[in-house]
Amino acid sequence: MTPDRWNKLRALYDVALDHDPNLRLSVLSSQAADDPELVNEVLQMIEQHNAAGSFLESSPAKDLRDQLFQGGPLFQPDDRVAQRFKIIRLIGTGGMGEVYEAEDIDLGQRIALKTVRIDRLRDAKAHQRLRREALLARKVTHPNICRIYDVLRHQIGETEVAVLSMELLEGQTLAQILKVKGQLSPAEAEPIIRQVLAALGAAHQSGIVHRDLKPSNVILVGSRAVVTDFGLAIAGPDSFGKLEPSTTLTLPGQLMGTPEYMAPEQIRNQTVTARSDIYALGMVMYEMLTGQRPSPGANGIEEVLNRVLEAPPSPRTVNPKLSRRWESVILRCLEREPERRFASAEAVLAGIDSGWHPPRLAMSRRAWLACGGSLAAAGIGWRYIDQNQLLGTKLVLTKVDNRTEDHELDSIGSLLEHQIIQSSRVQLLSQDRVAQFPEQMGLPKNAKLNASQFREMALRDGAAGVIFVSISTVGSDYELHLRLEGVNSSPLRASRSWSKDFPAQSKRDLFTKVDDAARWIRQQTGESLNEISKFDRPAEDTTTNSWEAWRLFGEAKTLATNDDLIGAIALLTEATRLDTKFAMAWRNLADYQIRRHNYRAGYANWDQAIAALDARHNTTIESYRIRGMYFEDTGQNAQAEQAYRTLLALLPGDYQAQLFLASVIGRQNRRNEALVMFQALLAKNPGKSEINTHLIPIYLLQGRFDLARAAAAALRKANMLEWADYGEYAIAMANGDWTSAAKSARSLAGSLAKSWQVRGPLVLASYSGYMGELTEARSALALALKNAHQEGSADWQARIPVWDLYLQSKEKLADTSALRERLVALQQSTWTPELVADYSFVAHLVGLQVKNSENFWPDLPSFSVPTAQLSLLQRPTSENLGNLLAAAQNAPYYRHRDALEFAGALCRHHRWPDATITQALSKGLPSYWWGNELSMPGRVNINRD
Amino acid sequence: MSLQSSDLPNTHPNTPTSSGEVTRLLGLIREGNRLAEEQLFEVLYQDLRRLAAKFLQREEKGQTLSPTALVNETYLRIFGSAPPLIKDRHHFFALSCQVMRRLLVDRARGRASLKRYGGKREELTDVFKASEDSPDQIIAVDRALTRLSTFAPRAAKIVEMRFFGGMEVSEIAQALDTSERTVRRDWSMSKAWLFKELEAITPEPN
Repeated sequence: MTPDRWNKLRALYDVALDHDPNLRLSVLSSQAADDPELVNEVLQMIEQHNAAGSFLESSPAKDLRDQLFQGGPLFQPDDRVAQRFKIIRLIGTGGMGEVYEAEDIDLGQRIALKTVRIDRLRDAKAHQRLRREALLARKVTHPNICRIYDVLRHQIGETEVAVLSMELLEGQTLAQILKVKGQLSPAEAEPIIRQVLAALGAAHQSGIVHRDLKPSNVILVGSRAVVTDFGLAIAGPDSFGKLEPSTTLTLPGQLMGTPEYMAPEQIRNQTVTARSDIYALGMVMYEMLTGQRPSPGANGIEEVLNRVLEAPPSPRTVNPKLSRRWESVILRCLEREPERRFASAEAVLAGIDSGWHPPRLAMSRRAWLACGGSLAAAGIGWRYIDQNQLLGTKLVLTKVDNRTEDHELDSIGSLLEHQIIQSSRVQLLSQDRVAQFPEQMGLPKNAKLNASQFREMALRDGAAGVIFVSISTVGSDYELHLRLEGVNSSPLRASRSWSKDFPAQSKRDLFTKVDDAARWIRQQTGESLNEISKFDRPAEDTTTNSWEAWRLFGEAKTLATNDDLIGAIALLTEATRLDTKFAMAWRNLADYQIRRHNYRAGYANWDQAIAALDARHNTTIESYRIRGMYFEDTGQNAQAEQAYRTLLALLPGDYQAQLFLASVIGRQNRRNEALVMFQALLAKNPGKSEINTHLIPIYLLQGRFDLARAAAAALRKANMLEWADYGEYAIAMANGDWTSAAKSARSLAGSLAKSWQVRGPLVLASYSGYMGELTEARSALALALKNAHQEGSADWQARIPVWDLYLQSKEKLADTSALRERLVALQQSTWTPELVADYSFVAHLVGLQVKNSENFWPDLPSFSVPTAQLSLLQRPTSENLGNLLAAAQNAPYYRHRDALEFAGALCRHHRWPDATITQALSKGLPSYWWGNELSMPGRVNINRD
Repeated sequence: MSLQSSDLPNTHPNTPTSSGEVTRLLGLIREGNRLAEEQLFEVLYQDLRRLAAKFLQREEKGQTLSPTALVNETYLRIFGSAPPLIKDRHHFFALSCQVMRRLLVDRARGRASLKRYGGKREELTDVFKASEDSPDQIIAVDRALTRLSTFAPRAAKIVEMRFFGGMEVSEIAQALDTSERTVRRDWSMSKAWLFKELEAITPEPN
């Protein structure tokens, strides 16, 4: 519009308004006969004016309080608050005020500050509510709950402002994520839901109801989900879990909470209980899994009323792909009558878990799986390490100075360690690190360090102090002596020191004293007695009541670290004989057996571990660790991932859990995700060169040979020579660099390391068999067999004859029917996935029909690929091809590739067109040399067919 | 007349504005100096903000703070017993409304971005209260008003003074030296035009 046009309109507008509405058209038409458009516009404008109603009539400036300051920031960047915090930026505005990122100048760390609005502070009730919020929330320490540190006062002019300092969470809210992604898959949503449930469970146990759970109150920091803003949480008078609404703080008619997610009883201003949070969680789950809340499209009030008046439509009407399990869990959370909902967060967890269908083998024996949720429910003892608190509470635990003659008591150190790390505050420098230190200082490996050397270790690794432990005898009694030293600048002396004696009347009594000692250490680091007693379990319960068993357990660990699995297994077998309910020992036994490919023995040990877990209260952490490893070993990778994620929520930063998590993610073929995790883990733990062994196969898959070479070089530098050779072998084979491959294979075959005694020669046999150098292959195989006998490894012993038959078929010294008979004669009693794979290849070569009808091998996912391969070999139908590809989906990644390559070879053999498989093959090839040496010949042969 | 930067007052945000400076700036503005107008705008912006903060701290619960009260307070603080010329006085109020507009729009932008950022501001209010003064609405009015001022400066000024400045029709008429009837008519036509403009850009709720 032009000024001229506006002025003309304006003039006519005046005229029009001066006349009666009925006359306007004629008057205007006569005044602007040349411009009917203008007349029309003026009339339209009058209509619009009428339609506009109260538009613009209420000035936003009517009350400046609302507009200018209620939502506006109280602080600007660089402002100082309470002489201690420097404002960095405004993060958001919450129910009660603003949230800022700030720096704690005293501690040099970033925190979040939450303010209470100035005008609200005038309101005594708001003030009271804030104080209660802080006091209540501080009662709960949980990794999935945003931690509150302190309530501060800040003076602005004559006004006092209340400020809460709390944990700074750098991540996105669930609301933001949902906005971008629309909805989440069950696999993405489940870990978040579980963590929110863990948070609610912990809060409810302390008598706190959130009252305002919603996606914008769930912040995702990496894979950790944190529930924030217990800002409206009001606990009743009974703090023992019975939750009564406290109406004194809720003003009449004032809704507290966000109506979109609010439970019907909350909207009706009736009794609010833990079940109201369960309802809100149901709403959040609904939205996560379907991308919308029930009754979308309705406006605010309507949406809320619909939920109060009617049952919500099933989430499956929105997302038909959603499983029945989720449907039933969500709908039960969204029951309008609180009594019909799940009673607790733990019950929801159990509901989620009850949909699990453990594999057939597991089902019969492991009822505990079905009630996996109750395991979590039993896990009241949340123990975790809050990374914000680690500053200052990382400690070095020195080797116990055992002044008694009794070597059993050497193990008191590891028992003490085990008890101390149940703390939420203390992190101990790992025993590996402590063991490495002498060498790093240029001392002999087992050198005994003196106090100042330990202090130096603490200083170098950023630990705040050192714990010295000694044990001595006083007459027939024992005395455990602890000294805790703080370090700050010089290794020559302690900055402060505390010590305490713990006399014990008997060796048995020492168990109790170790508990006391651990508790004392934890108290010295500021952990409250309340917290300790809540999270504590006696050492005898969580470990074993036998010193001897504990000592053997510790020694076995050392042997295993030094690659002597057989020795470790022997010690653990003895330990579990001394204490049949020693879950951790059974767990390690199972782990070591499976690492040695002794699956049957391993599974039997897992059964024992789990039975022991049921028999004795173990720590939550151990339960999840055992669960995760069990799932991993049985190829149930998704469940293993879940268990490790829970474990990490309890123990953030736990190296082993992170390593396990990354590897189960890799096994689910999420290579990039696993790669990033492994790389980050290595960056954080540069001393853990073993991570390189996980990186190499991924780099090979990606064709990033330089990175793979660098990883192998790092292994060599870390003195992990066999793994370095193995990596270089795989890289050379993938590049067709036969000379280097031969060199590495021969070097491996000559390895003296226990765990390579069989595997090393077999790599060489594999290589020379592949190259047609059958003499060398034969002698390598003979060496492998000899060593397998010496080691007493049933698994290797079973596999080598199969391999032998393969070489025989290459040597062509016997005809096929003779070979077939020899293979039949090799019918195994102990099957492993590798053996099934080997067996089926050779069976195919010699034309032997093999079936699993007698259930030779267990029906578990790790066996499914070789089983499907075998079926496909015997009946090359498209159905069997489909089965194989399906099995590959859930398989470890190398087996996944294995399956695809196999399928590809077969397709070519039968001249089946399948572009997908061919494509997969070309991607899979480079890492095919890693971890597949034994089943390789069969495959090569098929490829050449 | 040319204006040297040294002629302008030092506008440090924490220094209360002196009446002498403001009067001098108003004089310069009267002579048509745009730079001085911008300078005075800055001075007033800081002053109003500071004053409003103070005001809010000591007010009683439930008491509202109107922009007129705020502007009046600022005026009294600056000029006290030495009131400027009537014409300058009116100019001062007009300019104050412009300042109020910027204050409100800045706040609205802050709140709107918080809202987009996922802040937790929009809870009960947004669901249960149709929001005439929602941040988005304020921002939209501001934009449309800027367009309006390109062809109808007086009308735009009137909307600014009334909507953002909360001024009464009579006050606006005095400040702009025009009749109340003109102010009303300008207001009603601008309102119609703005309504159409905003309707065109605001999607129908459901």
